Amino acid sequence: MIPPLAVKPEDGRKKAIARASGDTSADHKREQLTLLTRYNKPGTANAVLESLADDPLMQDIFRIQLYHAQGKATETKELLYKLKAKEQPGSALRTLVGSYMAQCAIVLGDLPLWNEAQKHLESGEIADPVLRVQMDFWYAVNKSIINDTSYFPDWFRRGDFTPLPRELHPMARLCYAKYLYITAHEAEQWANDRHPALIFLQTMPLILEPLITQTTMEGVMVTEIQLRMLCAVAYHINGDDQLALLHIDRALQLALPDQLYLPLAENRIRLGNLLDDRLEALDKNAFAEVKRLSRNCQQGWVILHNAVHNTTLSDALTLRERQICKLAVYGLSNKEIADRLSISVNAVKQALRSAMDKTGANSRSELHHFV
Amino acid sequence: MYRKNTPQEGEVYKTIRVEERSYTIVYGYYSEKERLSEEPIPIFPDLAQNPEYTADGRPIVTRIQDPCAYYQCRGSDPDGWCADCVYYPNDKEEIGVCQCEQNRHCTKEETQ
Repeated sequence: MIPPLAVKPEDGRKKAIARASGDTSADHKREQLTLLTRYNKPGTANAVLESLADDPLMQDIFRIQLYHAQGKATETKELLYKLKAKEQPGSALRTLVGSYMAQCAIVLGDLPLWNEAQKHLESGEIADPVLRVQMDFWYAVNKSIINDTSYFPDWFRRGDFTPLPRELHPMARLCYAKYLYITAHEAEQWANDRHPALIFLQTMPLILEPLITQTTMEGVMVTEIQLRMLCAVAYHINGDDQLALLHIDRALQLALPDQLYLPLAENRIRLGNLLDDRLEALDKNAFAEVKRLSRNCQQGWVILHNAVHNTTLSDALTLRERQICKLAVYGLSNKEIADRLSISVNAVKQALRSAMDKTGANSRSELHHFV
Repeated sequence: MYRKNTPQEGEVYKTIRVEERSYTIVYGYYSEKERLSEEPIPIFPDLAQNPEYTADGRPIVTRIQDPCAYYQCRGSDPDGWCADCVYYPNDKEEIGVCQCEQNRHCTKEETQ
């Protein structure tokens, strides 16, 4: 039951917009960075763009967020450089430019762009402490994309987002879910012969479902798609494909009208054939584009991860080998892995053996050091 | 500039010589469903289903084959394939000769 005096999400947004108009305070800066909250219905991207025609800067900011979700990394990169040239010292735009440059770098496999993004967030004299917290947070988020969670502040690790502006909380929730996922994989202590990651994955839907409900109520559509895809992955790994498909279907309803392919592509490999079958039946062109983006994202991730962490042992693993190794490390048998990924047992065995050759692991259980 | 070239189906992966026999391994798929979303991988012959032997009767096996009744794990952490059996001489070899005497087929000369 919602208390009668509670402020509904749409009222909160209207208040933020009212505060922001003609106001150069920190609130206005935050509004610039959270245009995604205006984009809350599928198929309305062009309408939102047109509504911002009187404010070219905010229109460009929304274009960046939209192009990125559509997987148009090259166009996003061009716009980011255009905005970077307009930045004022101590500007809130710095956090947007830095965070989106890093994400573009993943899709493009562009190491110089990645380094530039991180320098952009690290440097600069920022007088506004609220802004400094945001920049440090996005620096940590970028690092976590390549599995380095050591930069997250303690408040974030506790699931506390109050140091961040309220408009960033939906995104912070998504980052937190991913943080928990990565941390579970880093745990080395086994419990009851099952890797902690597998135990965590079994409980992950319990964490994600209320986050999805809250984000849906707030109308932050792009973050809702990302959370639903992450939840679908958790259900799928747990063997509950029916529930996974509920989330996939809803994510597709939201994503396809405006071709928001990136959230789909980022999770495609971990969903086996679940997403592919649905997408191919709905829209063959979208399917082809999501497949292409998925390959680019994964290859780009491997390039950046190995360059930043200076790893050599596992950088020759293919995406499929990495995925199969992870499931083997969780304790799944070859048959279970084959069933989950809809491939043959021979393909599973071959991938494991190839991964062991490349990494020098003497047995499948040793592979957990490398994935 | 950072992309790897992916192999094409039918492209030769390598040719493996095992004593007097030669196996040309090509890229392909073990099942049709893999073709829809996977890149081709080296396809090895099913030597469990269609066994082949050396001149002195020893079975030629792939290292990822399921182990037989005489399997003995080389280390302390069994993976359950020929590659980690004491009778498979070199686990880096993708196709090799099983050295287990129990698995050896008698040659014609030996049975005469």
